[in-house]
Amino acid sequence: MRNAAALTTARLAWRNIWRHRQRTYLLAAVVAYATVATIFYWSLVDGYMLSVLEAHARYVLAPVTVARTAWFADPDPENGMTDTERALAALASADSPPYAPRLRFAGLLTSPYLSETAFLRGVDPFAETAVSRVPARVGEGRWLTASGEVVLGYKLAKRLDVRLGERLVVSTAALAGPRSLGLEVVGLTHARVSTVDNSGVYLHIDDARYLTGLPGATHLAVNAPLGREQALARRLAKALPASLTAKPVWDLVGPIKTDVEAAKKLSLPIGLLLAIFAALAVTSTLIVSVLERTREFGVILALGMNSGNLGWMIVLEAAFATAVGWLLGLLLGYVLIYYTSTHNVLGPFFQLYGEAWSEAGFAEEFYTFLSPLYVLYSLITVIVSALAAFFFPALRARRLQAAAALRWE
Amino acid sequence: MKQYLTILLLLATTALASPDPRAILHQALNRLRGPAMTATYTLVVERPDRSKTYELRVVSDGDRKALIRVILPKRDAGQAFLTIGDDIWVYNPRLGRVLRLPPSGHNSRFLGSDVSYADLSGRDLEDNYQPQTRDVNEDAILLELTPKPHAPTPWGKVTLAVEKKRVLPQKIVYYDQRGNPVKEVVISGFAEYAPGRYLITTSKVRDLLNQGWRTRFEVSDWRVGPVPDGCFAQSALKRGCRY
Repeated sequence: MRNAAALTTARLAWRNIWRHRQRTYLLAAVVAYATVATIFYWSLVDGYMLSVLEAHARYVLAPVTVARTAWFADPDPENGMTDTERALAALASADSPPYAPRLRFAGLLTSPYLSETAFLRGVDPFAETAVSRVPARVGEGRWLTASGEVVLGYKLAKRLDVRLGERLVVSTAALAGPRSLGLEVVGLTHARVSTVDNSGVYLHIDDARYLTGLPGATHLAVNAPLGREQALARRLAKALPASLTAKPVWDLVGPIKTDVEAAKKLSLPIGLLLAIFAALAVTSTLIVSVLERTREFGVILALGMNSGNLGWMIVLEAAFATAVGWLLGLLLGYVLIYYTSTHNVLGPFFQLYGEAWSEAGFAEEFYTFLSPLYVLYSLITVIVSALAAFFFPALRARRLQAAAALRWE
Repeated sequence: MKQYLTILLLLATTALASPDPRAILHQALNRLRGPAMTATYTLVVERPDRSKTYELRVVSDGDRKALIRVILPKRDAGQAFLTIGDDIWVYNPRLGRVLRLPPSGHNSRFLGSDVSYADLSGRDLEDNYQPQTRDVNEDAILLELTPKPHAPTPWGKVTLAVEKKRVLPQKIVYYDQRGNPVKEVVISGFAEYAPGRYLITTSKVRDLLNQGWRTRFEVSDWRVGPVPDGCFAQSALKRGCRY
């Protein structure tokens, strides 16, 4: 009997929302807007995180970095590994994915017209291709093959005004004193990652060893599938000698990590704000609706519906109208994020970020992320709207007396 | 015997006709560097809209060591620079400290002029370049210096015109790697401080990329002779060098 009454209430609520189509469309539009905004925001935050992670893992740093603990604290060549044999043996014994030695150091680049300081990366040209996408992103010229060569980010080359085939002087304060070397520019990267194109300098690790005086490497770059970096770093760290450790890329991106985490934390108040905005719109529309329909409710009460069911009918009307808007919002939201996850429409905005913070590793291509979880995140709008309807318009309806309601003007 | 003498004479004539470019470069750089001495340099930095004059007291061992001290203008007086080979130390009297110039500072303009700190030190033209004789006439020899493989120089080539008789450098032109001249040093005045020994007294550096950018050097009040090693110690930056 109670089920039948509930079903009748639900049917009445569903019928009522279509009796006032304009009001329902308005409610649905507000909720749809809030749903689309919630989905898009989450997709943007996740896309941003993945974009930064991918750029740092594949271009700027490495999925996993193995180095001396002291080097992570102070990334100077004097804290590098003079002998990489023990680290390499440990990686081999831990059945590590492909890895490559790197030697990172600060230096001065001098062309006939300009000097500029930069962080240089000494690499093994062949091993590097297994851990980095930079070698495949040399847009002009070619990747390194021998010592005496240098590959530059194309924007850096433009600033220094050096061209392919020309010599660039690299100077550094080495462990053994100041050292300089003239290197031939053999390639320019067009990686579309701000850090690489703006300040990328890649030279043969033998040249880096000569310039710094460090016979080994500052760190080892280890490949790992996206999302598996942390697990691999933990596994490798267990196999490494005591002075060495392994860190996943996410631990090394610095302020970007804070930025992404802040954006994620912000998503909660922003999501709630959108939900409250939608709930306010739903509630105010319902309050007006309840006031307008007071005599109608008097008739319903006179025909035998109890005030409790009347209250539930109002809540269900709010829930149905919100659900219609939510479903519409889901459809529109997912169409939008599907499009932005397959087309680089947001890239130009992030390119501007990259210009402003060239060392942050922003990619010029930016895609949003698709996740079924956004359905749940956006559901909060429906829940808050229904709750708001329960506390204000429905409570008023529950307090109505049939006789008083029939006399309402 | 007569045949041998003829051959030897021919060889000697050939050798004289095409002088060894390395030897010429070495001697020209010695002239450029000057002897062990103490001298006053007047440095005039000219720009299209302004000009600034410095008076410097320079002590040099005639090879790879030099101590430079700013005497005038008053606001810059007391600044001192010590070069030993590729190393450069700077003394700032306001800070009261001696700082070693990092490699990144070596290409900075010395006192805002058209010469860099690196130009003051070392013998880069000899260390980093392979000289070839490009032209010889009655009065002058033109050397073309091309960088050695992996030499730490950004220049594509350098030409050095040398007066033939006294092996005095006359003009140095630095070219970029596209063949365009970028910087020019013209040496116009010499003093013979001993028979057959010369000291450059007037020179002018011109930035060919910026019209109206010039730096003039004039040497006066020079005293040639050995300089004690103490003048090239870091302590000399602060207290100066008297001997």
